[in-house]
Amino acid sequence: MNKPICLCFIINLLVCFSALAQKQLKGKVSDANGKPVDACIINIKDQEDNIVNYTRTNDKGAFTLTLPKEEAGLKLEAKILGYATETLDISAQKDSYNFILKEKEMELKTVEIKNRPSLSYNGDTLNYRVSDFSDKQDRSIGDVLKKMPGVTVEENGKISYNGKDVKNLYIDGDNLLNDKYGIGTKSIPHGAVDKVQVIENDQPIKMLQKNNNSDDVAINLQIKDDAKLKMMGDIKAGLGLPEKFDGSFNGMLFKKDTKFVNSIKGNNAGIDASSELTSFGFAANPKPSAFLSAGSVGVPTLPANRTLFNNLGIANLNNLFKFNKDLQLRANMHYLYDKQSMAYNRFSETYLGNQTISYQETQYNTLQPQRLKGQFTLNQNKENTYLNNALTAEYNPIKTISNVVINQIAANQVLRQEMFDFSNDLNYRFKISKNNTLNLYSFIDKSAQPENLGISPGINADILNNNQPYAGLNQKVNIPAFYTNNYAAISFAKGQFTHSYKLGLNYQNQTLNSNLIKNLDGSTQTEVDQSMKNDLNWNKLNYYAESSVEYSTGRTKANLALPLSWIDINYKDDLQNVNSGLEKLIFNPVFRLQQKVGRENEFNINYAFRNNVGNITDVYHGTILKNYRSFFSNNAPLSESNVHNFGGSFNYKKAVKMFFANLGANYSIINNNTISSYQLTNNTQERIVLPLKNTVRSLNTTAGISKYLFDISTTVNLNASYSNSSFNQLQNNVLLPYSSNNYQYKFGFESRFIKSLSITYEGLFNQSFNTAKQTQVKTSFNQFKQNAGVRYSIKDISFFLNTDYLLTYQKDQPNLSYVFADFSVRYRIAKIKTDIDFVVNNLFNVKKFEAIYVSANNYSNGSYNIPGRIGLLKATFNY
Amino acid sequence: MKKLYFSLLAVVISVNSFAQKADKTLATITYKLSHVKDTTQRDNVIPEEMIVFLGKNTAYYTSYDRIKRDIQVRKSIEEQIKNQGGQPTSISINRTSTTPVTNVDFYFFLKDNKFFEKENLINDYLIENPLDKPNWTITKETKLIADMKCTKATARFKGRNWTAWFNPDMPFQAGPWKLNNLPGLIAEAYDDKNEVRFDFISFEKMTPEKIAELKGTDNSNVVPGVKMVALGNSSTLPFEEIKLPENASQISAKELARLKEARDKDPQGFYKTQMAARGMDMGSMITTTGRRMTVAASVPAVKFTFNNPIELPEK
Repeated sequence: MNKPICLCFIINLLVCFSALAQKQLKGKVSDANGKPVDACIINIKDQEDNIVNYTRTNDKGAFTLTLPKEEAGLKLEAKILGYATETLDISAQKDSYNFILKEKEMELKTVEIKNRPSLSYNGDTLNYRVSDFSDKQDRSIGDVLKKMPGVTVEENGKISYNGKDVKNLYIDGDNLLNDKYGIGTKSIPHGAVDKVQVIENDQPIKMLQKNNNSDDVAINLQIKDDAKLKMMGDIKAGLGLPEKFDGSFNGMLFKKDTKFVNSIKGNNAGIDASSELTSFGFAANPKPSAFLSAGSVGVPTLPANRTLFNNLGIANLNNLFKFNKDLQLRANMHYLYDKQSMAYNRFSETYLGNQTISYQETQYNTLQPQRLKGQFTLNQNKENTYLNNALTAEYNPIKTISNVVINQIAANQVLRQEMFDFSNDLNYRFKISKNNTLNLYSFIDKSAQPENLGISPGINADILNNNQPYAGLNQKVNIPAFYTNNYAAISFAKGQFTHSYKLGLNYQNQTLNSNLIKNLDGSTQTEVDQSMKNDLNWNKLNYYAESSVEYSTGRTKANLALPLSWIDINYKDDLQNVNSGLEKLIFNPVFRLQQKVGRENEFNINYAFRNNVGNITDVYHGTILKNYRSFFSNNAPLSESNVHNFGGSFNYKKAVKMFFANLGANYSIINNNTISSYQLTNNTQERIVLPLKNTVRSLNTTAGISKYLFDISTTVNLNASYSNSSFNQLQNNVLLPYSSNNYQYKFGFESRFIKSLSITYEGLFNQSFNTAKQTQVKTSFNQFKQNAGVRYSIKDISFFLNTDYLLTYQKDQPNLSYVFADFSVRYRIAKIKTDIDFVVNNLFNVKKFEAIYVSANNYSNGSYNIPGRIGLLKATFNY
Repeated sequence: MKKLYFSLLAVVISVNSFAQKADKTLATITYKLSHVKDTTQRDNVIPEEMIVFLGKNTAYYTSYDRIKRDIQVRKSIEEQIKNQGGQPTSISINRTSTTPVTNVDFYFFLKDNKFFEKENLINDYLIENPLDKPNWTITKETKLIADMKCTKATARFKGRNWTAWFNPDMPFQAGPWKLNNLPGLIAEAYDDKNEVRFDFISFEKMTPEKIAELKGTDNSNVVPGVKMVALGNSSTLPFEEIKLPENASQISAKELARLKEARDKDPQGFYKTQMAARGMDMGSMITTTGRRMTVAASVPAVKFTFNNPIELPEK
């Protein structure tokens, strides 16, 4: 457009405007008493109620307003708080409009939207607001944690964050539950928690916080102020069919100086409350595990609540008292009693190139475990000193009665195990000068594990009684053990470096007593054979010195430890003519590096070389009957192995976008000097440890993604893992190399797209292949598991439908598929803070479950009786 | 000489020439502010909660995060004072976050067409300006924001093309930041470059409960006689009525810039004079018992890059 034209255009416009000469409206607004109303909004609205112009009244209640266009149906509206809105029609003739407003109560209703969930990230702490992820039907903090992107919660309450296990769950900074935090995940009401904080480098010891070199992940639950005031919890009572009950009492207090989570529970409805006693940490000190078992019962690959016939009572008491800011005493105690029954049938085949070993067994088991444990911890955590002493006593008697039929031969087993353990763990740190600290550590443990397995009538008479029938067998085993570990370490902090030197010794004394006695006719008892007896005394003394250096800045944490150990082992068994030992110097270096990349990402690499020497279970010569069909013994010098372990991981996070991803790989090479040799027959398996060099290589890789999709209020998770291991098996004198591969893919989401409807889904696909390299024996197995849940709430009632679908398929075998469904209704009576639940589990009344297990060259098929349909009516009172 | 200069600056206390009628606080609205402060790091937006106190003719805009942070700090100090038997020897302020918060507040007086910016440099300073009203174009577009039917309006205002969604059923002519003068409360606003956005969080009537929440305490555990300077504007929040703070000094923009310059050049001297203006001693606080306590902030203030203010010069 050139200038003259432009000018013409503007002039033209001006002319037009003046020709139209917009109309001015004016008027006054006053109240019923004639008093002018100021600050009143005056709108001109068209027929469609759109505002075309607006103004506000002045001090005198007057206004003037331009009418932008002349058209029919225009209205004038006067609007102000405290008065009823008035409208007047605008007519072409009139240009003065007066409003008289009637007073009306001010209506200011609270309007809120749940703000879009957001995470805040600060240094190495990630904050989730609980209210962003919770909805009305959630109960425990675990229900809400599940929906938080980056966080996963397992069935037993164990939490992991972006691929890393969470070691501790703190409550307002206090470690009340230690590493058995399952009860916390499952019973702390989400309404009591304000924020969930993920601490990526958790260092609870104040003295070490300055040069923090930890890569432990912990979660802190920040309790709301009003939840700190008084005790809260719930009481539940439920009855159902057939003859079911479920009751519990939970009491919690989260005051600053006193905290507790105490609960008493009982049920026979298949609810596996024992999982809350599971420890999610690492056991630092080795303990011999149980020798004997009732048989080869596998656990069905289904959630416990679908398979368990139980009768359980549990008391779990966790109490913490603070004497002052730095000093606290904690008592964690539990007692569990259960009576479980199980009926199963198993068919197993082991392929050995030219031969197939197979057996079929049926078992009816009654398991009566009891677990009693008390742990008392005194903790002083100051800037200059740190003291932690934990005293633990544990007694776990278990009685198992098992009726077995193997290859059509029946027997009855009674197994009694009474594990007893008493230990004390003391850790003391103090400053000897500004940057130097001394650390003294002592651990003492005394344990015993008497076990007694009785079998009647006598089985395997061909091996044990010259083919003559006999009345029974009785295997007795006990390993009284003593273990102590003590060290002193001195640390020098210099800038970003901390140097430590450690000197220590540990000592282990164990005695293995075992004897196999046969009962010939109900009254005559004889020892089966001298070769089936042990009286083995084991002593292991280990002196060690370690030099380590840690480097820590905000972004880099590195750690190199160079421990040297002198090991002196002696073991002696006069009965078996064994008197041997080992003296050896070993070196177990460890290197670890954590590096932050960008604002929120980090990678980790680690390498460790470890020399392992065997333990008492590798050197006993007298045969032990582990269960009615397994004979175990050794015929080799003490086993030695070394392990190279390489690991690396990358953790990616974008907190603002709620995106988490992780990638990890681990490779290990284990060189062993002994191998287990199995002699398999249709009725028995014998294991002997023999000297033979062999190598096991294994690779594990995992990848995971978690993302919150804002637009559809959904958390999506995606995981994939692959593992491969190659190893050798010696069975029936044939040594074969095997390779096993396992792929796993997982996809899941939790959606709250529509407020009253929440949908969860998880699909898991698992594929395994095993090959024997020379014989071309192959086993493979595919499984697809799906779980979907829908929850719909309307006012105080919510409906919940949950289904599990399980499909197992493999070549040349019919597919196995199962569908389970549960339905429940909850009615919330807010007035009396009570929820009424009506639950029907296993709607389709599935009573038998078949599962397939595949390993190397073994294929087995187990079938279990499971509880059918269960109906329960429960009332839960929250206080 | 330097000291004299500071003292002179401190004395530029002109009594508020503007005596406005008190306007009752009726309600508050909170927004989530997402602001790209550094255009080189567009992904790195730390949201801040902002609050507007609403009266019939007035409005007061401030940072809700700052209010919450001040409450937190005060609680922590009070607790420490309590734990040390009311005679504290050392107090540490644990700021859990180093994220900066907005520290300039706005007062709107619609009837008088006046607008004040309040900034705290130990003492409160006010800068008066005429109220700038955006020239809104109201469209026919509507949408639901938290079940409120809102209408879309657009305007070019202070360097940005703004879109605002307002609720005609809430006759407050206010909104976030400097946005105002629509025939209803602004529930959501953003610019066309997607650099500044205000998302609605909540609208609440001013009730005693809400006041208690904003004060963050029932006052019972306050140790008497302790005067805490570092606690920003919590004492001057318009809980009951919206009016200019009485102890604030009205100065010109130029004078404020000079004060800031002085602060940056010689922070020690600056704080000393500012404290003196409030009758306090440098670096320490005096309790009723006459004991001194030192205050150590554990997290040093971090300088953030800030190249993209909400208000841009008009091209």
